Amino acid sequence: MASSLPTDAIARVADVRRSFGAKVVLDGFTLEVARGEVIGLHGGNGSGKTTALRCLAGTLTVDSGRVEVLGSSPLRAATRARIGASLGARTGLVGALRGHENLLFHARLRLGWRPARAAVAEIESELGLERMLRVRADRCSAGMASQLELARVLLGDPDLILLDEPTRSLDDEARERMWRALRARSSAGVVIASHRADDLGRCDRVVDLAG
Amino acid sequence: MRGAARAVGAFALRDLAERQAFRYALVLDLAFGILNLVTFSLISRVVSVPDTAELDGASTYFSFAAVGIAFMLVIQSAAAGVAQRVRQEQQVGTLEALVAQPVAPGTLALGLTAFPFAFALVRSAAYLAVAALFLDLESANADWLGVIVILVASGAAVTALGIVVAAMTVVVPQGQMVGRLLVFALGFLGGAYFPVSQLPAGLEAIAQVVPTRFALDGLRATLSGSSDWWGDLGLLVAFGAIGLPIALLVFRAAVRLAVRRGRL
Repeated sequence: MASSLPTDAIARVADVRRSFGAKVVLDGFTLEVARGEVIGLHGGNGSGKTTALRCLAGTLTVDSGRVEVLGSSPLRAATRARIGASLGARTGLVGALRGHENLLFHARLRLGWRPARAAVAEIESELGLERMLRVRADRCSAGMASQLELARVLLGDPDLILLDEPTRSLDDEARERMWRALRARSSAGVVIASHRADDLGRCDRVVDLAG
Repeated sequence: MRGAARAVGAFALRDLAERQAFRYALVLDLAFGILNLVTFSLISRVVSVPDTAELDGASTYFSFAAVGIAFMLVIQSAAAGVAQRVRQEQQVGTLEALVAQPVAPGTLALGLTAFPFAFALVRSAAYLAVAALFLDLESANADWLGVIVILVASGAAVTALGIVVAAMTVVVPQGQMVGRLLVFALGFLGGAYFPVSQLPAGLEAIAQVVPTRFALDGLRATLSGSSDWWGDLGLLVAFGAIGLPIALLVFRAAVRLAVRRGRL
């Protein structure tokens, strides 16, 4: 399928409407994400930040409008191979598994077994996760779980990175590491939903969903 | 295809690692199964059967019921486990994280169910061995290779069942209970605890086509040393070959519906 995106664009959301029952959460939502760009989604509770991320991640359909990632629908499994997403307040980690086991499991869903092991080792070192690798996910602090969740999202070098309130439980040091990791991925587009002014201040562009 | 096999393998390793984290639960589960067998063994000693010819060749009620217990107990446990797992994944958010991965719904379905049901069949074999070695299950003429062949052939059929239960759980909040009821009904109609000839006429007709019936009949035949299990084997394979693709389609539809409704 030929892409209708500009060459440096990774994702485009055009005039999307999504409602849950009578409540319209997104109406006419439009967004374009370019390579190397970090976009902040801002808005109050219920303004549609997570809904927008879900539509981009392919875990929620739209009522009308269009969502494209690298020229095709994120509802396709092949497209989702190019997306790394953390959605909602919950992590995708399995509580009974250790941090390392969780990362290895998710890496194996995307990569061959040997590349998966290499990718996990690389991301663990990049994000300084050594302290939490042997700890079961359900025994991690909220901050540790957030860091593991970020590592999970970055596995397989996705072209589109979607993060929902990623710094909610992070200390300053971990937040710095997160930003360094995101900025190091200059060929990826990043969309971050956040309430935090300091995070939004570091984005290239902020889209206000309340407005 | 290779990616799908890799993903199913990743799920199997995940489930294995999780089982190791909950190893006491497994020990308790095994103890529960063995206690069930012991209970039926004791009941069988005080219950006389007027005509053992009706027990598919088994000479005691325990020899008949042990097969049903060993097979259905673990299938019920696996189905309940899968349903509980899917519900839990939905509640803690890991199901959405899985759907966000480059994994097709069919692969996801197999990943969620293949290991629990394969493991259930291994447990079935272990229960039958315990019943034969330490309880009163007649097995002097047993064809143990036949037992394994029937259990393996049951794999696809019971996994199809598990996938349907998982699909129901994805869509319906009460899917867990519906799934348990469905599996119990299949044991009931399949002749797990009593011969299907005791069922009312209408239900006996349904019992002729449920896959658990073929699995249980096949297991009883192999344990009694009869060679009359090839027909059951063929029917089990046919049921798996037809049922598994249908179950995968049902699961795909369930995930699509959940994605549309925003209920992952």
